[in-house]
Amino acid sequence: MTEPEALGHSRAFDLLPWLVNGTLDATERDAVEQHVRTCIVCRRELKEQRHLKAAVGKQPTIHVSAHAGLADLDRRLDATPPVSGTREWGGWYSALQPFAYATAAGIALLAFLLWLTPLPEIDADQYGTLATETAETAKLIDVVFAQQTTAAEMAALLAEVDGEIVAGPSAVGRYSVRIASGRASDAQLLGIVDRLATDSRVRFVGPSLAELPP
Amino acid sequence: MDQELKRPSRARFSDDNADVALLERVASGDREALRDLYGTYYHPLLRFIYRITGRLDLAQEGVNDVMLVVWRSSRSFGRRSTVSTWIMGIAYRKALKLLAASRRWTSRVASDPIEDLVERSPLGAEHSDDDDLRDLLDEALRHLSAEHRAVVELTYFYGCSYEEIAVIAACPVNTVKTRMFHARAKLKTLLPALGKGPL
Repeated sequence: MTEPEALGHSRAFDLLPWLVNGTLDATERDAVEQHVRTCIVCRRELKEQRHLKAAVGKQPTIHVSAHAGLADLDRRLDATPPVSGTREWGGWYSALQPFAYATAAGIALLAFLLWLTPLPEIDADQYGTLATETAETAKLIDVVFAQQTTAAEMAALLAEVDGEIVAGPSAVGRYSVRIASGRASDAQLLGIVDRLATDSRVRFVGPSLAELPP
Repeated sequence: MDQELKRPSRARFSDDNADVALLERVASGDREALRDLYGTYYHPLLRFIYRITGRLDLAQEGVNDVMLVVWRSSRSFGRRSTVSTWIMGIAYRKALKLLAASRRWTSRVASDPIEDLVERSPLGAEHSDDDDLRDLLDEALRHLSAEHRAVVELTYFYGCSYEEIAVIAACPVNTVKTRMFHARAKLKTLLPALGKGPL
């Protein structure tokens, strides 16, 4: 007979309830039993778990007749459509089949029309993504002013950084501000962002990803 | 090892082959088969849902909710588990939903601290017997979370393996072991009498 694989204490400890209820497979059972032989903590715990199992098993049974419940279930079943061979997927699939054909035909027609439509010429210089930093967007910053900042204070702040509002405010109070008529260098732009970030009249400032309004 | 560690027969309340045969008939719309299944599962389900919700009216409602799901979903039973595990899984989810919909019981229990019961009980004075322990356990279990209570109940009353409980509770087996670990720790605190006695 081969010796069962040694089991660590915590794993054996965790498995004790299922040693007690007899549902561990033979390998786990042998390994836990071997550990229990040498571990006083697990032996004590095993005793407690046996008490617990006995106590749970002795909890009073609920003596309620099933008849009333069954009558209620019958009433609910009478109000429920009967189970049929094709009720589940077959029924739904059959019901949806005409819609599926119509949808497929519509998609095919749309694809054909798109194929016939000539694509517009794209100027490579104008093509960009959000990750593309253009000369214009590089000179824009987003600014959200503090709630108590007056229009005069906003104008004064913008004058300090040679900025002009080109869009906004958005629904969240964000303005797009162009710096130095778009001629500021990246270093200057970052310096201005740092300068505004320390001003209490500004809640948020950062380089803009927004495109210029037309 | 001593004889007490040998595997006892499992506390199952149904025969899976018989259950599968009944479920196949239910799937074909046989109401009589559903009634037979109802008769087999009524009391196990009633107890289980009662243990989770703590309310008999919810348990009675829950049993019929479960059997309605069985009626409607019998065709989707894929034999990935026993019928009893499948049905207990439905009952577990239904009981948690019923409990969530009615937290009145929880607040009632929370107003009755178990620590006070321990102090008042003869167990606190180390004069325990099985009846006292059973009654106190009933109260102590209500102070566990529903998920922890379910694991204790499924392990020690229904004789489920941790794999079966994982299927019923739709969680990993390690979660089952962790829930049982925490339930044991809390019960140990609430029920010092568990460590006493001749076993």
